[in-house]
Amino acid sequence: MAVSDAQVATLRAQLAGRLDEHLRLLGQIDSASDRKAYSALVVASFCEAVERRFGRDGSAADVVDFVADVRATSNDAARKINPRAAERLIRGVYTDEDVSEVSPDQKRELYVLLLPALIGDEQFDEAALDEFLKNSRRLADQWLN
Amino acid sequence: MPVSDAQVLALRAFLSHATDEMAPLAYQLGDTGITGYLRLADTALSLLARRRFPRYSNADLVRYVASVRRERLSEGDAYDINPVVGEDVMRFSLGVPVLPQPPQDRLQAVIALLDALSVSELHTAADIDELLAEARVLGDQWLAGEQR
Repeated sequence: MAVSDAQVATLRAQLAGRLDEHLRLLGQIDSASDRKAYSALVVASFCEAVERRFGRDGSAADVVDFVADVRATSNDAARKINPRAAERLIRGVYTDEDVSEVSPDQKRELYVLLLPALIGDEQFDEAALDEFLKNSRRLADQWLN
Repeated sequence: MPVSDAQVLALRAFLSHATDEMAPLAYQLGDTGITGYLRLADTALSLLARRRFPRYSNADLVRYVASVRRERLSEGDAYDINPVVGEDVMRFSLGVPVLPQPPQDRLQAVIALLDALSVSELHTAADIDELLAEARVLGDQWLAGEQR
């Protein structure tokens, strides 16, 4: 199993802010194996983005500030993003932080809510976004195989 | 039972960051006295929160609680507070009804936020005395309101 071009295009549309296109493409991911590959791509992108943002030694306080800034963007974000769960998920990428208390549903939602914010400050151009997705895809393919 | 001098004294030690005096004074209050002490602390927190945030948005409270946590995390993970509970404690202090929170989490949040607000809002012994006098009157009024 491997990540497909269509799955990369689906995530690319989201990260480029083309939400209608993202939702249309997301609707075409319907088999269990496609969903598994797409999930792997999202998680790989999340890990990639966290490492770019925090390196391997981002402090707990830096992560607290980042999550607070994301939650402060709107009341909806503040309500949807549980700060402790979000912080654990981020620190879980580069530390041995225990993320077992974060439910699978919560993780899925947090990946989607945090990923655009993680890469937002990078202001990727088209080429940089392609490079980011290429690295994420490589990582996801390793996990899937 | 109205706010006692001993409760005011214990809270003055806390707000003055007189760590050596604080624990024995709180201990001497006993189980009965500590309830009134915590009520007084809640009242003081409410007064300080309204000074700090005469106007506020949800984002202000999210960022403020995060800033308090950032400061405390520099002392170690054990000093962290539950952020959702911290934000609700701030909302409640500012007069917004909130759902009940786990008592231990709430207590930790009240102590942390009161500590942080006392640093930024209380600069002199006179400031502390003034706050305590106001909190005592308000605390007694709240108690009288509950007993009606």
